[in-house]
Amino acid sequence: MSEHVWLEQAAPYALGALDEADRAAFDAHLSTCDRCAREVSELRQVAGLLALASPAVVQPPGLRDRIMADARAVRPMASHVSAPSQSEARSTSARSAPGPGGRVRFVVPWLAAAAAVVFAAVLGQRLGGERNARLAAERTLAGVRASLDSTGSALATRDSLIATLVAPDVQAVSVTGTGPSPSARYFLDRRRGRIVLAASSLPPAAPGRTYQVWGIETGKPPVSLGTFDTDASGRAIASLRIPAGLTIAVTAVTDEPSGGSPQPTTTPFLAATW
Amino acid sequence: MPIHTAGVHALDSALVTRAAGGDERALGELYDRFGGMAFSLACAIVGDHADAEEVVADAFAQIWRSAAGFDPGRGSVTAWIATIVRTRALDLVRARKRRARVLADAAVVTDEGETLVIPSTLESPDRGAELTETRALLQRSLAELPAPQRRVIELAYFGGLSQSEIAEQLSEPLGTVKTRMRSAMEKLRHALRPLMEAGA
Repeated sequence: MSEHVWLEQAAPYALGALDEADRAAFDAHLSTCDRCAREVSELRQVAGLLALASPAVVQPPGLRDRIMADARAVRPMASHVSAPSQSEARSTSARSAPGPGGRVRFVVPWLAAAAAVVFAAVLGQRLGGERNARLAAERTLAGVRASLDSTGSALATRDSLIATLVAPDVQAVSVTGTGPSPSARYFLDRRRGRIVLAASSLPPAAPGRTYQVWGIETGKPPVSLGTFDTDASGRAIASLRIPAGLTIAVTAVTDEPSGGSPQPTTTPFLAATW
Repeated sequence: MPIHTAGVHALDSALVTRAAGGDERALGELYDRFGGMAFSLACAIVGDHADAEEVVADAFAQIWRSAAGFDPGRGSVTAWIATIVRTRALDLVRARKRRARVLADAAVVTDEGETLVIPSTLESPDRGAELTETRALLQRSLAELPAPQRRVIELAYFGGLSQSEIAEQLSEPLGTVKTRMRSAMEKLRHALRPLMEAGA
């Protein structure tokens, strides 16, 4: 047998077990060596089949419905859109949620979306962890789509809303008061400069009043992010733009005169620390 | 007598093609066929049923979105789905920093804590039976490896560890780990060849 020292790397490569430097070197070699490429291709099949060696566990009964509800909300990518590589060998922390340019085609009317996000917040809280919270938001948003119809006002906001909820690097924080008092969940997308606030159990502001959201950078005065009001059921969802250059450390809500105030005039609540 | 026939692979690939075209029923069939494998794999990696459910829901969302990217020439549907599930499960484990626990549980083949049941929701009994046979072959092949070799494979595949991390974990020289991994993969390739030839 002729010696081809690179071939020794094929098995660990197929298992995703090469150390970083070795993997980079072997990646480079693979692009020029058919022999190693064939070897990797075959060993990857072996590695793929290892999945079947795990002890069989019956999946939860509701999982299928959940997956199908998700699917009804999102169209598959068209074939010309680059898809995650089938031969992906190493894990990556990047999420492949549909980005702003993705194929999310559903419409989320305002109130239904609010309900969905609040529900997602509860779910996210239960699961713990930002990633799961975001997954819950994405899934829940998707899940309600089937029962929704189009409304003009929702169309204007849905893109940024959805983008913020499903973006790969979104941070999520839930804020709950004591008892049945207001609760909220914030989804902060620093990269795109958006924040989504989903509030519940918050009575509509009094006549002539509104709720105002503030972003606070450490050591600086609060900056208004916008105003919102809740509906009769005490819910609201607000998708707000973050002014350029503002590095938010804290977000909070105050009760202000209609139109909002330059600076908070009442005690902040629903405060979240980032 | 091949356990996996080329016909089954063609059927699986056709399901993915239909899913890529937006056929929701095809996705449902993919779940009926591979959901058990996906959930079992996710459980083996994340070690928790609730987390595994998240992983599988997430994985099938990705399968749905990216079905058009599946290339039957590069491997079976089984391997494609397993890769997606494993990648997401390992992401979750890393995010949760649960590696230590996973390592302790990595000897999945000898784990007796789970019930061996195959979901009965498979559309075609014949295809379900084939998957069952395939699983049996896989488990047997892995079980037949010498224990040190099997451990290395388990740590790499289910634990997501690199060769040097495995060496550290086992307090073995890196060269020993590399040799064991190569030998184990060679044996597995030989044992699993009938499946791969059918899939090619």
